[in-house]
Amino acid sequence: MEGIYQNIPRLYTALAEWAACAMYLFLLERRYSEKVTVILAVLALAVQAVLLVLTGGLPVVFWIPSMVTAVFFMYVFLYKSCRTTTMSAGYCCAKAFLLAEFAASLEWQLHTYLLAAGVRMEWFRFVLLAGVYFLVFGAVYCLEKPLQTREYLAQLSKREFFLAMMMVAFVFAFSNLSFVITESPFTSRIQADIFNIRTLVDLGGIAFLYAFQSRMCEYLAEKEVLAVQNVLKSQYEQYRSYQDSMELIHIKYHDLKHQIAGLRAETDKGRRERWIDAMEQELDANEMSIDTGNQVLDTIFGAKLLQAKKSGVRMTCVIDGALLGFMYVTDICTIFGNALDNAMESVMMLPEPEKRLIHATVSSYRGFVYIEIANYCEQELEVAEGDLPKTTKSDRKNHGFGLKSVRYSVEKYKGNVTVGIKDNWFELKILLPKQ
Amino acid sequence: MICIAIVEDEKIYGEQLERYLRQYQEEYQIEFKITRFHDGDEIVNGYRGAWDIILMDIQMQFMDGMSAAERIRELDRNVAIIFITNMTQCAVRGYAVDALDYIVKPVEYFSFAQKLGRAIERIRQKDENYLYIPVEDGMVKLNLREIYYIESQGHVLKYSTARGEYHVRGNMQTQEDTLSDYGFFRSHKGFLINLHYVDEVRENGCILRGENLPVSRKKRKLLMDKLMEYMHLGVK
Repeated sequence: MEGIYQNIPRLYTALAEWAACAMYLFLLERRYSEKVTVILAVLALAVQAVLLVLTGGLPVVFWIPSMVTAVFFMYVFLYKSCRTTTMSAGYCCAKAFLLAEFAASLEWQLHTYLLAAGVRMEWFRFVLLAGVYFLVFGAVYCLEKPLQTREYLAQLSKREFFLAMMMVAFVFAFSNLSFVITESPFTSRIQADIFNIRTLVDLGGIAFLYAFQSRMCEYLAEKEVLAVQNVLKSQYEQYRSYQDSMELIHIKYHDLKHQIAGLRAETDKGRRERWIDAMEQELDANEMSIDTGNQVLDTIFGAKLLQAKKSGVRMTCVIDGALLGFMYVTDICTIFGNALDNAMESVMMLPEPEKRLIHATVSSYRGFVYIEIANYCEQELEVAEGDLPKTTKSDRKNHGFGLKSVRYSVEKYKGNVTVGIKDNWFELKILLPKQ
Repeated sequence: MICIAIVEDEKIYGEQLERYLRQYQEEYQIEFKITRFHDGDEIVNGYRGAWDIILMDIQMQFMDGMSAAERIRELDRNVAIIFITNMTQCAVRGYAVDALDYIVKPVEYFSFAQKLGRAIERIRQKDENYLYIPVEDGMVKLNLREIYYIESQGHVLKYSTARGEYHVRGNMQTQEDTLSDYGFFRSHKGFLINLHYVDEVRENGCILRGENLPVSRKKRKLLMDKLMEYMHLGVK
């Protein structure tokens, strides 16, 4: 690495690493006031610069340990100055590291190119350095901003985290392969090529990470839309059920008027008594509101019981709603709305009305809440990947989300879901730890 | 033989239920012993705990079904209670008396048979089962309910039970094979636990009667599934 093909000065790398971290400070929630943050940032820059310059002269064997130390300090800087978890700080740090590699590499490539072309002015170096770093980090900042970095990080799963980590490690190894090994199909002896490989591989890695993150964001947004739709739907159903009950009340009102007239005219005491008893029974049978101990469940089940009655479905439920007090409204809607919709749709396919049976249970068992929604079913069940059954509906694009979102909601509370058919009963069982 | 009590004040409904039970007997070749009561207080007074299933009307003249069920629960935690009602409102609250289910009037045979079938399935699960383990001076007959968990300690198995601890030479695998059909689960290489006593499942263990027992990482989901199956059968 002689002549004009010198490698990137360590100070430049330090600056790039620091600037990448600093960019994330703008995207994340800062832990301290501006003043303290600035002091921290200056301190971090000093540490990074000293560390990299000092380790610059060491032989290749120490190159990896010194890189690891540099990354570690980047992590400390990010974690200390941002209000974040260890995992999301790690994720940001990995991305910042890759970005820094890319920015430094790109800048140095342009630098050597211009140097070879004969540009030799000292001031030019600084303009180039500032310009390239500013453009790269500015562009990334603009790209990351709409990706809801904070929301995404809050929901970052272990799997995604490790995937990103692996990717960064892989890209880093690949882009620097030429500096360590010269004889391999993926490396080059020509310095210009080595720089080219490094810049392009880094760029590819960054592009992959952004594609990955934006896809994950879309996926999370889809989930949310689905949950919101469920809530809206159940609210609409509640409204409809009120409308239906109003109609029912109007009919009964007119009925009652006639009945009172009839009762007045009835002279036989015994017959009058029987008539009144019959009326009372009818009133009980039309009692539609239920009191489970949880208002959200009351709404959902109230609507479904009415719907069931209208379509000749026998729906029974033994529910201790108070047990679900720890759950969010959206999750209760998702779980019960979807499960009952599925059950209802399934039993409606049965030609014999007396077989249309649905039973729901919410009960407590030691440290658990046990939920079971079962319906009579004569169909076979096709189980798809990840042990949830495939949708039986023809419109596959819009269906089959139901059970998935049930599982998603249940897993938020560290619970479990299973589905299966036993003795002609389709059973959806959920077990949640009490909170 | 399964003992069933019908508590129903209206003669037509009582007779209908009895007819359905006889039809079910014929179809499934099960023997029932049916007793009829005409009010809640009739079954509660001098309650003998001799029934497996009680079919209970909710609206009755002297003592309603809900109060009767409450009184019965004080005396008998095991009997399966199924309400027969036209008041959905009350029946939803059936969990308070640990009611299994309810049937809405007018009762149809199909739904009646389905619900009865599930109740019978649950009763069968409650059958008493025993395990004999050799001790120094003979054998000990343990009800499976009395065993909390079994821990393997080298070639010796430690039985933690309601009657204290027993240390017996034995093989974990053999015990797992015999007991896994009876609500026991191998949560870890060295532990076979009774699902009945699991209070909580944590990240890498479970709480069983206040004791923290290990659960291997890959067994956690399976344990939750087994618990669900166990609860489904309602063996409380």
